[in-house]
Amino acid sequence: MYIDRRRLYHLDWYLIINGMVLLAIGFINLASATRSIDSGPYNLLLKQAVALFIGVAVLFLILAYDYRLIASYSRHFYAATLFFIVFVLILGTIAGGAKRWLSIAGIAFQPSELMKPVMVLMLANMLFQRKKENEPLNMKDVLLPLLYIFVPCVLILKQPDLGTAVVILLSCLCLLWFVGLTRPTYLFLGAVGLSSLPVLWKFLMKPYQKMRILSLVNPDMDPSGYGYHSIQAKIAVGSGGLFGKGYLNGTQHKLHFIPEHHTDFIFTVFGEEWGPLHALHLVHLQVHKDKPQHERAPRLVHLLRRRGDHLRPVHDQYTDGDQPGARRGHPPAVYQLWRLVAYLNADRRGAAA
Amino acid sequence: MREKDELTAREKKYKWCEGILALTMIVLFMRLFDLQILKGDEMRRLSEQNRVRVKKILAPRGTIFDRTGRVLADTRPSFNLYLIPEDIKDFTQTVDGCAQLLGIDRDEIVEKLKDARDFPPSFPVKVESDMSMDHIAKVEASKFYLPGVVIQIEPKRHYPYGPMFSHVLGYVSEISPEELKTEDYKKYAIGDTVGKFGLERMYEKYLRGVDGEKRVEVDASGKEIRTLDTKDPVSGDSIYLNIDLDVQTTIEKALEGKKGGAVVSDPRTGGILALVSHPAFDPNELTSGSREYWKTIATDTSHPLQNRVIQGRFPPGSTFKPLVALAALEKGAINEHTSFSCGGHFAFAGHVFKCWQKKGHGTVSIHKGIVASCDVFFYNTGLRTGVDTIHQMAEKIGITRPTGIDLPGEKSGLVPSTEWKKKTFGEKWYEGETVSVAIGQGAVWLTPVGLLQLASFVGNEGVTFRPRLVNRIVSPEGKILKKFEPEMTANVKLNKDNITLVKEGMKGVVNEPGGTAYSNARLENVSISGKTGSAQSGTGGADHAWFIAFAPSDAPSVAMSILVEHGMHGASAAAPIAKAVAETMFKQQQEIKSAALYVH
Repeated sequence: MYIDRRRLYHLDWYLIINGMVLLAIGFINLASATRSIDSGPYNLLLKQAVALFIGVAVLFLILAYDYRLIASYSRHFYAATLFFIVFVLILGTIAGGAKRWLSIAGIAFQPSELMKPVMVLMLANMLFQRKKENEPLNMKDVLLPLLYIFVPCVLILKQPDLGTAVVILLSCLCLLWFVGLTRPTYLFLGAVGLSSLPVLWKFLMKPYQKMRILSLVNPDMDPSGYGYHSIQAKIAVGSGGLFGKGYLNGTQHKLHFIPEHHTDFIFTVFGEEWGPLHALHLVHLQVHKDKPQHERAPRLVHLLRRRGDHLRPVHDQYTDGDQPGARRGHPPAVYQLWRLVAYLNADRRGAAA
Repeated sequence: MREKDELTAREKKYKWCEGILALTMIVLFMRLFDLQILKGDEMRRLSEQNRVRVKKILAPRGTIFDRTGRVLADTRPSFNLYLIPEDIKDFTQTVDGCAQLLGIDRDEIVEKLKDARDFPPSFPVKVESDMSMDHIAKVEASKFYLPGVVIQIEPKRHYPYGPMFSHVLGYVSEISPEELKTEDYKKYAIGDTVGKFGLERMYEKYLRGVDGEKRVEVDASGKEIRTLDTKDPVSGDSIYLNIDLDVQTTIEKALEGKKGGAVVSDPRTGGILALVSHPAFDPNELTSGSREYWKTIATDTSHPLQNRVIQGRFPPGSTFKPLVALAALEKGAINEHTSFSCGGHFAFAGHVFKCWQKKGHGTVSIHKGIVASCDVFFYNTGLRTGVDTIHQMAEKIGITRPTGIDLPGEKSGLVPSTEWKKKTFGEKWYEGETVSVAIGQGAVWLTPVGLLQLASFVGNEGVTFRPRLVNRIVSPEGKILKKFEPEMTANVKLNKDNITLVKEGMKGVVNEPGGTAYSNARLENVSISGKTGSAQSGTGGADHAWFIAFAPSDAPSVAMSILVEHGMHGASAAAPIAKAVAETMFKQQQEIKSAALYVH
């Protein structure tokens, strides 16, 4: 396959390894969690395995692809996802009730979920391409990004899917913070945010949403209702003790005391069976620290290095703007397709290069 | 330069991010540490409580047999409905649904749940016992809509003869909250059954077995997943009674529709062969916990719950005369030659006391006095003897105390004395009262079982044994745990001539023409000795009919005491019952005899 060898050792392998380890743990844990499901434990596991395979394949495909090209399509992605969200909303209204997902060929697909990466991509590209690159954003600058953020957020809230909306909002605000805002903008946004909380609470939030927040603070308020999940989850994790109950030996999930134990409450399964040290390790795996470029790949990958590799330019007509023979503007879709085919066919050529 | 500042600002933000991540990790770690290590044991306990449920396996109660091994009380499976409060998702749905399906009052269920408040929420609360097939089907069909409802098969007490043994065996039912608070029932839990009456209560600690336990794993909906371990229940001990089913049946038939009581024993051991009190109740109904039935019998004015044999005190009337005669003879107040003239009435201290025979008995000696039950003879004898001597004789026989029969709630009889009157009323004894006492009226009050002891005393010539229903207690493995040997309660040295005189008199009552029971109790093959009695009831209404007897006359193997309330004449109402009993008792013997004759 034609992959520039330098990508191999510029790639942050530890991030990939972390991800793979997490996937493996997830798979093993799911095997335990789904053992007690009546409708056949292997359905879900099989589904997960297929998804895992596809996911990894897509990961390497994207790695082979130039991310800057993906970024240049961010607006298209954004528009498409927004369209899906609206489509789902309308479909939901016709069907009479809330609907969040589309079923395509039997696979449930939730467009609001897709909005998470798309929004980040979109915003990052937007902020990257603005003219005054390194200046903090003032009030006028944040107006447009905020608009782009709020439109999907409001639509998702309508679905209603408070969780996803909050995740999108927070990650976007993080991005804005990372780019930097002027002091008045911080103050303004802070004031607006704080003052809208009571309004949200009073008028916009549904009683069950309020109950969820209240029972998060105090689960014992309604132990058999809204607090039930919380209490049972605590019991599950806590009953594991120092060493856990052992793989496949968790009782809380096996006997269905924890609802949704194979999705939302999957961590309780791990905590109960493996104990606090493993649980902590699991959490730690999700934290990744960016490393200097030469430390990103393990030694093994560096063995692939050839002398002079670092001097050899990466040829890409469209993205390497300053290279000789570069073209301007977006590459046509036909070109993208050609590139994909070329990637898949060009391993001999790659070896020759 | 500006670019460099910008870079450091970005670096700073990275540092911020790292800080936040580190803090998050620390908080998460602390939470995990708190939950899994500090609170680990507590959480483990909670998770065990979640999944492990201890189920009681009720032990079957011990079986009760008659003397020949026929079953008088056993256990049969029954279906009981329980509510497990912990598993109830929607209180109204479950409780109202149950009430509707079972046709009972909603408040009743709520009340029962309230009674069990002090128990853990996983503790099943019994709502309905011994459900009908119809109810079981209904509940099972809608079980899905009634989370928290469990139907369990449990042993239930069964009395195959129904009301016949109600006063002997008693009944069992659910322990009451009041009983639970007492020391005796410390080890009991709400919903347990307990002996409430009769032998069931008396021998509760033997009859009750040891309940087993099953620890099961349940899932969140309370469904059993698997059994973790089981402790088998141990059945209660069996009890063999001295009761003879045939004799009991005979009396039951004879007393049907009447009020009264009868008790039959073997005077050689004190073993009770039959004990019947009428009216009776159906212990099966009470064991099922039927409230309506309980109301009916508790408010019944004929007191079906009262065991007349041990709790009913009645004036003994003429059946008291053998005692008076014996007391007089022993004191020497009279002898076999002493005779009095009876003209049908007796005047004393300004009163005229009548003899039951208006035309009088003429010249009456002791033998005729007993045989014809001449009141005038006993008025005279009583006056000569004195009330205190009569009282002493009663005390020797042991009928002024409870006889010690193995049933709860026995009442003692009363035979007055001068001392008693002084103590009770603060008054001196009048001779005129002695006249009444001499014919078993006045302040003489005896229970049927008390008079049984009198019959045994005379039949045994001065010896009585403690009346016993229970012969032996046998463990489930068949080991005899306890054997009740005859226990002598009186052994009085009597003058042979005196006791023979009285016995001859009682023999004459049945076997001599002119004896009061000659036409009603005489049998060809067995000689019965007896004494009739017709006692003024005191409360108005017809006289109480009495008959006490023992047979065979010379070496008695059966003694009995029969009372028919308001039965008018002992001879006509009570004596035939004694005859029937004797027939039943000696039928077998007769058969053996004739068989033996045939062989030789």
